[in-house]
Amino acid sequence: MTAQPPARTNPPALIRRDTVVMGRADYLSTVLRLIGVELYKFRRRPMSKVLLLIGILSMIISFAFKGGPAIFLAHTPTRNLLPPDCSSVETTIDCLNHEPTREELNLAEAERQHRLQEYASLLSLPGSIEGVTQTIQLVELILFIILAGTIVGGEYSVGTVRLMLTRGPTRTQFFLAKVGAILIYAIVGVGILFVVGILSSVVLSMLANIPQSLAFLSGPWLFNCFLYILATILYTFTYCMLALCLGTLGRATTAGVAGALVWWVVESAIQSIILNLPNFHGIIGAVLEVLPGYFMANNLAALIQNRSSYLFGNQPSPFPDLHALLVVAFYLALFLLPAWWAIRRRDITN
Amino acid sequence: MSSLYDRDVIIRTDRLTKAFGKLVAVNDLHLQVMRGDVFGFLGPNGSGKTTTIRMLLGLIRPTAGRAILFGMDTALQLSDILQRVGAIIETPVFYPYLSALDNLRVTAAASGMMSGKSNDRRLAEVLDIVDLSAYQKLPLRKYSLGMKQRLGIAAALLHDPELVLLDEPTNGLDPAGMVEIRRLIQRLAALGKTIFLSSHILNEVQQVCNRVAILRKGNLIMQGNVNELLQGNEEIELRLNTAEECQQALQLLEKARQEDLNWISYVQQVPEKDTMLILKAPASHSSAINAYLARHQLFAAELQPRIGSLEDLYLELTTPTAGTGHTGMEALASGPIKRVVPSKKSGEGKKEEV
Repeated sequence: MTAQPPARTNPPALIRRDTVVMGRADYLSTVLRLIGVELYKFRRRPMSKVLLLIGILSMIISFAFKGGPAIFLAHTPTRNLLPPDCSSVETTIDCLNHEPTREELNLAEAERQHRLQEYASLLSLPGSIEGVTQTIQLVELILFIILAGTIVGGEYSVGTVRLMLTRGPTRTQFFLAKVGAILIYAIVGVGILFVVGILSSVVLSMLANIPQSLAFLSGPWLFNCFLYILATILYTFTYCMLALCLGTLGRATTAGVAGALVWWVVESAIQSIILNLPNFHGIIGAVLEVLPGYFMANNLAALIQNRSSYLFGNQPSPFPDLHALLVVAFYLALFLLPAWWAIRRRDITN
Repeated sequence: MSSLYDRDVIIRTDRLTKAFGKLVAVNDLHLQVMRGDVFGFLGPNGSGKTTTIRMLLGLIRPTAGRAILFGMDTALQLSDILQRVGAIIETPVFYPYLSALDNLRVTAAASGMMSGKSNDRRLAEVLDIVDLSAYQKLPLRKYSLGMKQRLGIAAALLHDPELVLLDEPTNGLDPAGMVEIRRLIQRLAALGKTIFLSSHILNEVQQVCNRVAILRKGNLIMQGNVNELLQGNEEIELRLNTAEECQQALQLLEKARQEDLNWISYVQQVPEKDTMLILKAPASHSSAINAYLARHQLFAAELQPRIGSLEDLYLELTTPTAGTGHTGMEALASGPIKRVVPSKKSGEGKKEEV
């Protein structure tokens, strides 16, 4: 049999039963439909609900740690803030051996207000927004990584990748749908956590009698706040892409989740080691000095920190936005391209 | 550049080959499945059946050669091909945390069907076909293997494909379930679907398939119309009164095979039975053999035609013959044997010498 050159063929359209209603078949519609499939699976999956619940609870708990002492302090009688009565303690140092005077009570009240003020900077707006981001960076990120690792690696672990890839979508469409779904999870997840965090802080502030003021709101502030939230979304999304990459290359949920978490821990460990090393001279010293500037976590954090310098008056990051964006773009390409290549080229066996 | 499209040819593979390192799983495979065929794809474990099916579905990239479905090359138009194919590959896999209905919804959307409730009627139809309507809301982790197998068939039929690829569809089913699946295959065939059925259950294949291909160690050793293959596998058992007569008859028939009675494929003595011969010849020619022997003053004590079964043929072709390590096919390779390849249009098959 002679080999014919490859040619595209257009066989007559297939006529299906009238009960089969086909959707739009163009490239984008197919990707959007697959993203819909991912979101549908997410909604129906008990693990997603558990992760969401853990995420919300951990956000509430992180504020409760700040709000609890504030509420306690706010509702403690002023007398209780004075040193204990000397008759009730064994030592006579730092105790009160007389009826508290008005002046002492005023001092105690002033001390209470001072301490409440410290809590207020954490619980009231806009300070609470920074608290939300810190919780996302430290705690919620783990949940996002688990979610991303599961929705990608799970397809291989269970074998459902076979089901999806024999139904018509191309492998690139399948891959884009995963990336799109993870982006939606990151946007919606971060959005929910911001709402929960801010609501928690508002409720706890009210309980702690800390007044809220929206005087800081202005057009530029809102714009920077929007960029701040986008940077937080990018932070979680980039780690999710790392989980997607490792989950795809390792064909397992474990590879995606454990790999991303190990990266997260190892990167900060390396940075700590570099910071604690004695000063090197020459090339090694120069490399060690610039190396942290190319770490993924540092650049993702820099984007957040640069916005927070405007929003909360913090010190800006040593890495400018453009540098940070380029480094993050490099990492995203580093994660996405091999994963895409692997999914396009690999044989799907068992 | 000629078009690959031929309305009647649903699957065609040209020199399809897959090697995993040094292991050649499928070697130089030429298959042809015609529209409306119920095509049985047979072979022992590890013979390359599933690898071939995976190549047809684009899950595995061929090392060489190509697979053409509906005139479209899997390397170029896989998406278009898969729109017309429903498949089960080995044990069906689904999302364990979803119900059967949700799994079908997900599968429907992935197959290009409208999402949401637009296809609920179709979902109900396929669940009804496989008799799972009553269990549609049960999470899949509570399904037995047989139920999963049936759900796999439902998923394969969901978008009303032209071609249904079934890899071991009766795995894990009880006898009643097997009968059900067999009836379902026959019903689908009656609806004009082309079925590609890989199975170990030869009786089942013989009952439902009109054409088969047999694979061994990645090589296609036979392909053709079931009836013709079985005809080719018919035998006549001949018993004579004495060992001496038996030897005379053997020599006589061997000579006749090369001259007048050339429809006899071979004659051989049955080992350890010195009065018995086996003739590979159409069962309907028993009387002609009897008359021929009588003309030479040899009278058969017993003459028994044996209609071949697919099982016999399969075992003959795939089981190593005792002592030689070769299959029946290899042992017979030096003698004349007919391999049936399909004719282009009718799918009826023509014979060629190999």
